[in-house]
Amino acid sequence: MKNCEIIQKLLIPFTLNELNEAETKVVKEHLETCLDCSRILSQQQQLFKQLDSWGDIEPSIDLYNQLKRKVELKKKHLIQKILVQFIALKHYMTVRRTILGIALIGLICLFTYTFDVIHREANFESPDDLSKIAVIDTNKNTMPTLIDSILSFSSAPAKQTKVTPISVTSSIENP
Amino acid sequence: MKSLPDEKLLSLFQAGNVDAFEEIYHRYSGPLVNFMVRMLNDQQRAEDIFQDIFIKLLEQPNIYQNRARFKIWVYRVAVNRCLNEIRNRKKRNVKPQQVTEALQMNQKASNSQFSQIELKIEIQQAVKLIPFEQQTVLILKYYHKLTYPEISQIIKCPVGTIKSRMHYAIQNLRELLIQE
Repeated sequence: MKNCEIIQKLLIPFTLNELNEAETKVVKEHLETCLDCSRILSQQQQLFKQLDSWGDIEPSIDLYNQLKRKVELKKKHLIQKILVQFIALKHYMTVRRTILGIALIGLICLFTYTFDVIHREANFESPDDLSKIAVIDTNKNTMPTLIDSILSFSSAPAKQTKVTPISVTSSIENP
Repeated sequence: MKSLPDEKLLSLFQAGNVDAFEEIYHRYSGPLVNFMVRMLNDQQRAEDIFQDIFIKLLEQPNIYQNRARFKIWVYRVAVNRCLNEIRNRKKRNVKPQQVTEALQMNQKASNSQFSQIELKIEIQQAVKLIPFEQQTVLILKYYHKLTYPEISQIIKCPVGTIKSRMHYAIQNLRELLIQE
């Protein structure tokens, strides 16, 4: 029985001619004396004949052309997909650019205003500095410039022209 | 081009030679479609899967990295795709077309062709009844004449396991088909 187990495992390679000479000889000798193993071998051979009835299957003739068509179709779809995505992205970029542009303009305006305020405050901080910067020669008979008039307005009280204060009560009394 | 080995053709293809791709395609269209038709019993679906494999290779030439022989790699991909297809079919409860077509042919066949077609249907149905792992080994070994070491690399199992699966596949088929 133990021999039969070993031989039955060798029957498939025996049928497929995969055994070496020594193994083939052992199997053949066993088969001459063992009916069970001979029966199994006969069934296996019948089975292999049946397996052969499932013949070769030929692929379609124009399989390669079908592949080329599929690849071209796929490329077309990919191009369309990229185009759609590009248009969507372009729209998104336009909206984003507009918002960025408005924000940038706002920032510039804010910066300009802030700088202007700072600059003005810096200008009116110390009037004495201004008088040092612009030296006015009052002896010269020159046409007063705008700077001169500003400076004369902000300079020492002695140089200012006398202004008769208008009394509020007198104006009411004497309209 | 026809005499070049697969790996050489693949490196030419990866360098940009489309003729090399066409040669590889024609070299494997017969064997792979054959294998997948036997596994799936559906020629249309087998051809679709085969096309998908080669379209992917065409789009990404470097998907094959020359770690194993191309033959082993492509058969391994085919086995995995067949397994996925069978699992998806089970989920969707879809029956393969080829068996029904064969049955229709059977009705129209003459007496002489009758027994041949009947045998073919019988063997197809019987092969579908044995486990997937045994089917794969049987088809690769018997119909594609691959060696046990090659099958072992494709399925990533030891050679002993492959031999055992082949043994049980034949035993199961014998019990299904042979009347005592």
